[in-house]
Amino acid sequence: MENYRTLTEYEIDVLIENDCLADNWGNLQVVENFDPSRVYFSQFSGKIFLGSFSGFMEIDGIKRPCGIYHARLQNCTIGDDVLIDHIGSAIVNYHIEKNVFIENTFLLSAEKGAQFGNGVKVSILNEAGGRDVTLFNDLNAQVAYFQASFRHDLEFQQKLNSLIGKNIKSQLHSHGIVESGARIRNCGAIKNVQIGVNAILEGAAKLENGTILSCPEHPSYVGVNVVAQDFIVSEGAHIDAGVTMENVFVGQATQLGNQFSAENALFFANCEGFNSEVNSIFAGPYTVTHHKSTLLIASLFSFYNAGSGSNQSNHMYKLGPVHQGIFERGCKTGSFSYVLLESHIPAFSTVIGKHLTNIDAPLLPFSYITEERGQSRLMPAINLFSIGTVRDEAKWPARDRRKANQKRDLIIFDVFSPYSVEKMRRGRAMLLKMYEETPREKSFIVYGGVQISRLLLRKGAKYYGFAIDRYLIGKVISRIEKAIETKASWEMIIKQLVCNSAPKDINDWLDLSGLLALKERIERLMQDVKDDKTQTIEEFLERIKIIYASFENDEWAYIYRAFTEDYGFAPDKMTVEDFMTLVKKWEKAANSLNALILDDASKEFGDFSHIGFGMGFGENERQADFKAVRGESQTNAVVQKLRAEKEEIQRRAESIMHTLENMV
Amino acid sequence: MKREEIAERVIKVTARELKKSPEEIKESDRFSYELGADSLKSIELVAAFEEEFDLDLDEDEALKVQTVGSAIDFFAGLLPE
Repeated sequence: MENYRTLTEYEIDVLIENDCLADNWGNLQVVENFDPSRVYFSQFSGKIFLGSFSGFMEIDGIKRPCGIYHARLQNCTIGDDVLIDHIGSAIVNYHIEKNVFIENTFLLSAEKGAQFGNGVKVSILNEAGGRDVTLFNDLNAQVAYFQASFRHDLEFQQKLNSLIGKNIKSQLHSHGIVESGARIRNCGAIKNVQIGVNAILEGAAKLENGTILSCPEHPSYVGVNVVAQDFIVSEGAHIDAGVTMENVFVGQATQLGNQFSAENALFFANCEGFNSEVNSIFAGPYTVTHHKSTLLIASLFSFYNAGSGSNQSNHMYKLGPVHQGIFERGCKTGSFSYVLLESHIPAFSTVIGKHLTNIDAPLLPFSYITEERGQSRLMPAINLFSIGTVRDEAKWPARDRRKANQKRDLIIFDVFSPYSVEKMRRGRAMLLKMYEETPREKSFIVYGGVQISRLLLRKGAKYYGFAIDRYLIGKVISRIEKAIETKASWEMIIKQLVCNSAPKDINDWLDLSGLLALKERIERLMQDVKDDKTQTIEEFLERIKIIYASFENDEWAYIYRAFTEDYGFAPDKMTVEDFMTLVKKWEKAANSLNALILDDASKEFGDFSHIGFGMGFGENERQADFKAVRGESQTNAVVQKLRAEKEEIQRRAESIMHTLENMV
Repeated sequence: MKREEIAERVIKVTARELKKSPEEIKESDRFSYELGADSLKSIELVAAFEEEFDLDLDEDEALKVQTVGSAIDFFAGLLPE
């Protein structure tokens, strides 16, 4: 707490000499070593507190003295070594912390009772409301998901809203704050906006009713011509180049730019939005849209990529824009694809073409959804061996740009997890049943609004089987490999495969916008909220962190149960012979998928990929041109990794079999 | 199963799945070039062969089959005489 004093007569004289005015000099208080020579052409009204301005700031390579120049301040507290220069209208009702730089900005003003974006309701998934998410500073993807999704439980929603409301109340200030080290330059009107540590605002046109969270490890940036109303921006976000947004939450390390427009939208960690338009969307982590003619509307996404011109429609001109879409994690929509809402697109699936039917296929992940002569067709499991899926698996964790100490959104990156594998298990059973029940004369069956080729029912089930075997047996192999390092006998090794926890409904998993969790744990948390066992939103967030930390144990419990169900014996009850049979099964599954993925990757180097190369020259030049631009299959990093994986599969299988043969 | 019978069935399935007439199809035809099977269609084609011959094919081996003739030889090697 600073010790302030009133101005001396000398200081007042200096200020007047420097063409400064005050409605009442007696309302101006300063720190002990205040230097009036650092205040020029400025006017003061209301209660003013000024720090010392003895230091300098380097701006554009020039050392400039800290102080207040050409500004109008009302009811402000200014920290030490602040530089304020050329304010068009005024700074009203703000606390400006130390080392802040504000220049050439029209207005920085906070009204009493302002909530700075906290409490704003964002209508996602249903433009007409019904899934509104309340913004507050500590919002993360999971809390937003709780707010938006579990609407069947009114009591829970009321309690959660109450916790959020309490948190908002506790964070309200009677004034605006610009935290230390922030830079605000060439901006228009900034009204009711909290600005965080080291945040950079450059050329923003208009910002109203918001909070820009920021930290030294990852400063937030709001740039040229940005217009934002009713918003919260998280640490490390970068918003630039004419973005317009209203009723928006921007998560950590999200990048928005190039005239992107967003209304009623939530973006969580590492999203990217350029050129496109979005409305009423819940963009979970890694939702990416880059292209001008793309509209994303009324849908839930995560780990999603929008091809140019992707479009959905949520308005059938009946009861209003009330239809919603679910694009589970890992989906992609191809150029100029269209999806009619309501639709539920399965995880890690690709949608190509225009779909005028409501698609409902959550149990068929890794599918290709195409369109042929107006008819939507689904090819189950095809994306399991798309080289794109393999790239994504490595890409997402490597592209986690978040640098803030606290990573708000809790993300499980695994492509193959209890969540996706259980869907495949159920999908496989369903496909096989449909295959058995469909006469040979029928070419297609209709499921979930799409046609599926009868032949692909069995094929899709087979591919799911490969992925399931690779996952379940692979995880057990990994544990056994680790145990072999220190345990000398089979009996001791399989003791490492015991499952200590056994949740009742181990097969039911949810994806809470990046966090994969047992449904049972989520229901328990919701019940605790209803029973008032969770008293604050901070406690609620801590409980979610505990669920996140439980993933590894829960995953093993799932694997234990699924393994037992699929192979007829529990991992800790199997004989060496049982296991060696399963190793061969794993090897076959892993090799089959590896071969299919390599084949898909090789198409990128095949004859069709050479089209347009070596223009005007012969075949040799065409090959050389291609090699210079695109490289070769043999040297491509992703392909090399796949080839190495094939060798690794063989090595692991041989090694473990050899070791265990000696234990028989 | 004799090669001639296998050939007839391979051509029949190929024609049906790729919507061609059997007379158009030659053993030297490549599925993806002369017969125009894209990668998605190729998967359906393999599924059709599996059903036709009641086989569960090794994916790695099946991928090596590029022409109608090599498909016939492939199945001739798998099916009993």
